[in-house]
Amino acid sequence: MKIPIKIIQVKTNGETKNVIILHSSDYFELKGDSTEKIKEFEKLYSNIIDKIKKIKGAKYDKLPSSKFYQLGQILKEFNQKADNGFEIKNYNKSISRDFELSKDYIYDLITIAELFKKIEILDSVPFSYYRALKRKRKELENLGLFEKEKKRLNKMGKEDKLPGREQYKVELIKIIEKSK
Amino acid sequence: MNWDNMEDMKTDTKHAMEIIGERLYEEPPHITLIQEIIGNANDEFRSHEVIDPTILIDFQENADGYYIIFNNNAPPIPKHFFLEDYQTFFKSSKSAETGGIGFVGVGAKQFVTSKGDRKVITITGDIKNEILASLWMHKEGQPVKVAVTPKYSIDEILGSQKIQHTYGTTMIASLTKEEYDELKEGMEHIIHWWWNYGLLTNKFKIFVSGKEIGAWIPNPKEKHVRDFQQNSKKVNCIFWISDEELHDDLLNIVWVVADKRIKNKKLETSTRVKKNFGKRIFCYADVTKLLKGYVNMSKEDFRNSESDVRKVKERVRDEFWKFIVSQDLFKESEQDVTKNVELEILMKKFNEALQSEKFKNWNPFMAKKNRIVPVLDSDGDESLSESDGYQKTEDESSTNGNGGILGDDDGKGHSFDKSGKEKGEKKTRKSKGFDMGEINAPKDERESWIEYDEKSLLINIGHPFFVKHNEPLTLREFNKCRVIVDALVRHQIENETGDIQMILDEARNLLHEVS
Repeated sequence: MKIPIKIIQVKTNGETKNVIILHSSDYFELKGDSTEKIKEFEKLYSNIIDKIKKIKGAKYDKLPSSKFYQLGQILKEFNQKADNGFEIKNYNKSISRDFELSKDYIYDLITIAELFKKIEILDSVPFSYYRALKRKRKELENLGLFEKEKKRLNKMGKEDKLPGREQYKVELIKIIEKSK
Repeated sequence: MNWDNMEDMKTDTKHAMEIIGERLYEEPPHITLIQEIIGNANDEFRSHEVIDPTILIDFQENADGYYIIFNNNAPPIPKHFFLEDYQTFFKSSKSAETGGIGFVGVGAKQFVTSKGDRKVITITGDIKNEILASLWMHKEGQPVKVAVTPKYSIDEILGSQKIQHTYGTTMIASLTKEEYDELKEGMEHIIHWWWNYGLLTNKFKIFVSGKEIGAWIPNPKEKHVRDFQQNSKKVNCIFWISDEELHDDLLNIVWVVADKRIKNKKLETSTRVKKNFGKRIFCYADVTKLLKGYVNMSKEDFRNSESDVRKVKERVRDEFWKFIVSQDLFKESEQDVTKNVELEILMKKFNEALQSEKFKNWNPFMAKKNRIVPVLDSDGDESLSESDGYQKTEDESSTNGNGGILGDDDGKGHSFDKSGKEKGEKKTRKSKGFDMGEINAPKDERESWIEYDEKSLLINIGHPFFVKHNEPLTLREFNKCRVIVDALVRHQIENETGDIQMILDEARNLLHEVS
């Protein structure tokens, strides 16, 4: 049985703290050993926030793709650990709040971390292009073109021949249409 | 001075009995002499508000033997006292009764008798007016002999001793070679040991062989002054975090009375203080205003059986732990890690209680009546489009980013059908209660509170009172129950859900129910 929790922010003595609370749903089924696990989770969560802040620096917008990929890996790892013992009732809200990223962006980060190898992410390709490619992943995979498109995108990045992002999205649509 | 020409010292039997009865000092006589002399000088400095209070200590070695010489600039010993009480063996009086006595006291007289061939010369007075002097001599197995001015001249009393005395009181004491070497070598350490607090707080200056002894400061960056009041009397606490581990005799609380160290108390810190900070933190606790009257005659300990002493010591210990918590150095013990009061057990107790008829109005997130919620039921007789039931909404999906819908009781969600075709019925649902969590916020004065936006109740496990009563487990569990009830009481009062008497009665009953 996963422990139902919420990650909330609390103001105490002028500072804001993240606190993990036990959610009141289904707690009757717990074994009576959740308090220590919650404390451990609190530490894990706090470490993740620190790691992400360290990578992120002041703002996300200047971050190279390799750093975004690193963030995705951290979030992926966190999800695996969290999913092992906890059900975070306000997952999206808390993650978005604490990592300062939208729900969709976080989902994309995690998915890209799953779909791409580290060497497949180049700083010469802005991360938004990988997001665009990832969003067409299923259609491209069905056509057997996803891996090929990864390579084409990175080649354009290396040769400094990337089209504009919106243009790239149009190119992806055309590739899919043409191959159907 | 010829031994045979001197008179026997008079003896005050009362003090003699006290000394024998209490086996007065733990320290050897030549060490006791130092603390008595500085202590009595400081008493005089304080009572006469002496400007620039100073003690000079020198060493003199001649063909006659080895000597230590003290001088203080407190007012001289009054003549009548010097000629009578001061010359009486084991008699000791304080300045409140006698006027300035400079240094005297049982310790100095005990020093004379502690070995054969001891000699103590006292000179007091102002060179512009009158100088008084006396000599005490002791030989093994003999009574102490005394020679006092004006019956004996100052030259007779001093003998071969070369002393410059202009003001205040000077004392010359003979030492063995071993004592002389020990004091000459270790005087700075001895002064720091007994009188560091006096030096730290600039109560007086001490010069040894012409060199000023400054206060010992373990780490200038890590000095923390914290005061508190008990029985309207102030206790000054100076906490230090040393860079290095300290000797056991400095750990962790050093009790101070009248600027002098009385005793230290080493606390059990290994399981409760992070890293090696338990061996690096100590506190000078100046309890003069509360415990001066409870110091033993030796000034090396308190009369610990007295309840006032116990109360003050307990309070200072509390302050020590508060300091540890405030520095974020408190760690939970192994026992705490392995045994805990489980939140879900508390939640169960409280939610069962709050769902009972008796306490039905105490759930801060539940309306006073049961909620009617619409659920799908093909045999139902109500069109769900007309239902005005309660729809529970969660913040978001709860599946760690993988999508999904949060259900409710029995895995069924509340139902609503815009088309009005689906049939259903309304069922009474009881709230499952409130969410609960623990926060470690030592600086927050609240022991518990309700986070209304998050529909949750928080217990502050870092609160000093909670930390103090962290063990045993049963006490900790009771405390958690108490602070939960406390938060609920405040909610009841703020929402004016009844008169205070009724709220307090119900709170007590709720506490009994869950404890």
